[in-house]
Amino acid sequence: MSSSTAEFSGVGVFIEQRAGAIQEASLQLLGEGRKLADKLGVKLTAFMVGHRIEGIVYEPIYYGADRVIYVDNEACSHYNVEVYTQVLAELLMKYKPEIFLVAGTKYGRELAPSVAARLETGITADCTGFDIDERRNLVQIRPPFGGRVLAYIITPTKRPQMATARPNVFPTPPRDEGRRGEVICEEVSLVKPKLELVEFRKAALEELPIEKAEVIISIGRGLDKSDYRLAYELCRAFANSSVGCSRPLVDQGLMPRSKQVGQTGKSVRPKLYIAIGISGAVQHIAGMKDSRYVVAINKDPNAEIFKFCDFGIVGDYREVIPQLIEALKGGR
Amino acid sequence: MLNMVVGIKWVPDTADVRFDPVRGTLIREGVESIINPPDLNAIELALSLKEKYGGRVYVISMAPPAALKGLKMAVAMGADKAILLTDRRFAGADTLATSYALAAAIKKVGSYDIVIFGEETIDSATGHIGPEVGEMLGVPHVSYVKSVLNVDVASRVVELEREVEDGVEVLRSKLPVVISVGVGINSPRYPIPIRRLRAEVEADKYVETWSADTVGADSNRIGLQGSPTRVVKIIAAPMIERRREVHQHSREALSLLVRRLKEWEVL
Amino acid sequence: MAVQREHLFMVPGWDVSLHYVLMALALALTLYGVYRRFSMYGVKLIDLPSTLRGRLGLALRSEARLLRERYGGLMHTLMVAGLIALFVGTILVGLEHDLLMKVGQRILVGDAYLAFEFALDLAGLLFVVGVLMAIVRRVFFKPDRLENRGEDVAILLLLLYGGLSGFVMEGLRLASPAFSHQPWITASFVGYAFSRALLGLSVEDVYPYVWASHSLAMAIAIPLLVYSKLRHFPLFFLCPTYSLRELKAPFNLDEVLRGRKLDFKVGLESLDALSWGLRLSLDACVKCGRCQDACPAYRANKVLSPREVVRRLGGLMMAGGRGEAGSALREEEVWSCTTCGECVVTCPIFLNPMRYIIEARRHLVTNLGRVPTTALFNVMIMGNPYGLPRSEKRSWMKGLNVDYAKEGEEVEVLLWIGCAGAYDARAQRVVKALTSLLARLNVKFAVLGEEECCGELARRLGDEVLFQEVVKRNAELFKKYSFKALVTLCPHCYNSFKNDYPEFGVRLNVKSHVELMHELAASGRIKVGRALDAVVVYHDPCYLRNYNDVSSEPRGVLRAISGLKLVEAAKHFCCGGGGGGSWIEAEGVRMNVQRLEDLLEAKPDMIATACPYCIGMFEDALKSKGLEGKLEVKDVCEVLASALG
Repeated sequence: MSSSTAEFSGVGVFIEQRAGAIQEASLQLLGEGRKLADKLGVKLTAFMVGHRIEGIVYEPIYYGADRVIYVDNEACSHYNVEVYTQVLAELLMKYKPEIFLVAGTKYGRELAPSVAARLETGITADCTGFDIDERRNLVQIRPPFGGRVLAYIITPTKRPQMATARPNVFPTPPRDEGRRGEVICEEVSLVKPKLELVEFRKAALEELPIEKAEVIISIGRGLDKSDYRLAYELCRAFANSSVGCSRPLVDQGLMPRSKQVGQTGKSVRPKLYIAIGISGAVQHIAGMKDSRYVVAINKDPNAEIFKFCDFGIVGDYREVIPQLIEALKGGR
Repeated sequence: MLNMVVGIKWVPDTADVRFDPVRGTLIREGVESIINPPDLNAIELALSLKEKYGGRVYVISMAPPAALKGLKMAVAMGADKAILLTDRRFAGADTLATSYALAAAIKKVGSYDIVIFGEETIDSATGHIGPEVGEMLGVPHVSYVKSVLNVDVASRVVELEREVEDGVEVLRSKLPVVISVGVGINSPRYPIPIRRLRAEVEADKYVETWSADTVGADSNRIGLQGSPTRVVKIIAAPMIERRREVHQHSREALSLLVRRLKEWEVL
Repeated sequence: MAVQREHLFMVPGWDVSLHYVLMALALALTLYGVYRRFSMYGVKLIDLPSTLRGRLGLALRSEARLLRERYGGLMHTLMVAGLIALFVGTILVGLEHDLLMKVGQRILVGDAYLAFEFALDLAGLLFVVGVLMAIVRRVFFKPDRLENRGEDVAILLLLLYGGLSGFVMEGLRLASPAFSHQPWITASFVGYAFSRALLGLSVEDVYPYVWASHSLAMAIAIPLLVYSKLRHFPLFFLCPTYSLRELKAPFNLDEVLRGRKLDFKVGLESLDALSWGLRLSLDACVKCGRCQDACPAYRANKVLSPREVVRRLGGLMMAGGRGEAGSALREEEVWSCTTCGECVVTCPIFLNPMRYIIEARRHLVTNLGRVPTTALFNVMIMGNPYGLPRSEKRSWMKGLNVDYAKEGEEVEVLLWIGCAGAYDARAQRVVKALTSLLARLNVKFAVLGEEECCGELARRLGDEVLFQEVVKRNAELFKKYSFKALVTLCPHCYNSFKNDYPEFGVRLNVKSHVELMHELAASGRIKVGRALDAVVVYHDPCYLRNYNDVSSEPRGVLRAISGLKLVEAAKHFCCGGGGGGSWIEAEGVRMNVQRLEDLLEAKPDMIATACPYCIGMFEDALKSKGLEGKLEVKDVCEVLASALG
């Protein structure tokens, strides 16, 4: 990349769509992008890739973008990292935004570094905050080491300055159908990828995934496996709720990985997090510390979890949970 | 026959790392280092593929000499050779500079079919290395791999499964390919103790040390020099202030909890 | 007729010649057998004298162990006592005939002779009764534990014949005209009874043939001392003792790293890799099966039998297999063992069946890496079998309010918290109880905080490399501090520090927490304030009782508590937690439930023990039986703490 920094202007955000559904995480980043664009006094551009997406290309405008640049091609109908990397790399070389944000979905966390390497530029993963410094650099704020510290990172000389952010870190901006903007359809020449999709097996969504739940009932080693049903019963007492767990239960094959909260599992930010039989190890706290309210139930009065809770009950869950369920039924 | 290269990272046991708010730095002394846990799953995958298809497994780490302990552990698990990529000039590298160095080393290894990394590390947790190395090698890369379904060595095609939020993708790729695997996709085998001794006593047979010059790395693209991103400062993460209202279990305590839940508008 | 021994009475010359020929053949066969077997074991002759010295001292203790079972013990004592007396008698007869009489002397005369005859008849009678008891047991009772083959009964019948034919011969002699009217022949009371029945027979015609048959029986019996289970008798004295406390390492890590040579064998990769004593031991076993009866794994699942381990390996050795021993033992057997050592403390001839399991584990793990639990990987990486971060231990300990050891300052007691104490919620409560107890009793103690695992699990599971690495690390740690005694609250840590570490030059003054409490109680430092009205059954942790003979101290502490009624379970059995038992998923019937049932038979209000594994196992068993909350399981220090009020 021989272009100099000065040639890059504007904030770009990748709007990920799957089968015509725009990912909320991308819209959340669009909201942040809007703030950054306003601070810098530059345009906010949404970039979209897909097939037969004309129906949704105006959406980013309603959520705050000044313009949308998209590629509509059969080769892009389902996400493919080689194709999407090539498309984005070309678009970014053409439109040269100084900042390019990608939502940290599974695809995003793979696509973004791929594009960054292609463009030989800097990228920061899983940001929880952004700012602009006095030199108009993007300040990328992220929590390494299990979230006990915050690192402030800049990309002083390379462009675009790239970053990803996980879903639900930023709020979804309001949708304003009154907004207007430019929509540009681009053509890109595509190489045949060496990687192709054979099959996509959609997961049966029996339950709300924990990262989308408003209330999480989380279980730990302190529970006997024959008592897990108590957690599910308690879960039913709340709306928009899901059962999660700590790592040891997944390691022992007692619960699926999709339910693991923690450093090597998922980071969740529900409104209410009820931790049952969880000691409060650092790696677990890392995954749920941003919950709005935390309730802890544990037999051991010295369990670490009580330091991270708003309300705690020291007692045997086998007594507490059934009584709590009763109390909740009565309370309505 | 499959030639595999596994990249591992020697990381501090992050749960033990503390932060010095006065100096604004991380306190790493006295903290044990370990092989990044998903990297153990990466090694295990490589070894299982070797058992199935034959071939060899090299393990590589861009790290200070202390990482030899982890590399020897990988040899004890069954890796044929371990390569320590070490050089003062690598210091301060961000993911791009690290990926550049690793890619240079993999090219130096020569023939490779599958490169495997752990999905992300427990310290920086970026998930960048797999995709960036893939890009630099000019080969396809796949993250979040759950399992390798089949390798057709003759046609040089691999079929694998990877997990995304709403389902599982079955992908087919030409070799060579770079893949990143998550923790828990398999059970890493125990490093064979007698082999650990062998890796120590016959280290020259099993371990090689390469520098930036060995792999012909461009010094502008490695270390701090080659890192487009830079950490400006580190602060202690602000934690949400918790009320810490802890009670012994009783009917009254439960009624109080229900009251709070109502106050918080979660009911 | 003079009151004296008539040597070779009625024995014609051809008979004596035949006797010498038979004895010569028997001796030749025996010597050949000894040579073949010694080659098979690979005996180092130079080691034999010291082995013999050590074993002579065990002879009486061996009989004592046998007598733990009334029938089997009595039967054997009768046989052995009888045989020894008869043997001594034979020596005396031979002495008189072949030496003394040549110089015109006799000792078996007059009253001495009568006493001699009485004693030998009594001995013979006891012997025959013993043999009959043994035959009855094998033919009618057929206990499960006893390997019972046709050959075994045949040997007993041979011995019976030897005994009975001896009496028949005596009867014939006493029925002969020369003696039948002598009044003093009643001293040989059994022979006398036989003689009454044999009066009228033409004894001189019959006697030579009976004598020849007796000689033949002996000529068959003597080689059987090499070729059959009777082998256990001579081998008892030639078999080195492998005590629970001395588990030698197959190599020294420091030497290996220094010398940079891997020229040693580890574990049961082949019978070759064992010491000669362990091979000889396989042959000494008579398959009495008392070890099987004592084995908790056998009781639970019948998957593992120490008797079968020895039998199969012995069979492999006999078949000439010095090679691949792996096929002899299945992995599920090897991993069922809890290393409780009950088989070792039960074996009447002081064999160590468990040692073969340990050697098999060493081969499986050190050589092949086949370990059945992630606990060891956790010890390697995280410093504890739970796989929990070191910081979690530090933060828990903040709530303890104890002093930390400081370099350069000597403490009386350095308390080793152990991994269970650091990471397991239940064991943490025991640590709390002990530390507050010690504080109340003004015992000056300190803790380390930075320690990791003691390594015991690595040794018991067979990873000698990891074990020695941990020992090295702990040796460095201990060098930094100065302390009079190291006190542990886990018997496994205790045993390892006390018995495993010295081989590597780490000699510590180790005390178990129950020994410390006992000392404090005995010296009067403990004034038990409150009485504890409870029936308490004490369960001995195997690593205190079997490995270290610590069983009276904890009982002493409990007895010092007024109102506490101490009851005992009928027998000792392992809880199932040791040797990796807590870390390996068990299939089928669980040992901890069976042991709990043993304890419940004593109708206790409370179970007291002194090991975190035992506590965990019993609480788990109570849950399985739906008895949680109905009965408490407590560590001895917790019982003591509550009694102090």
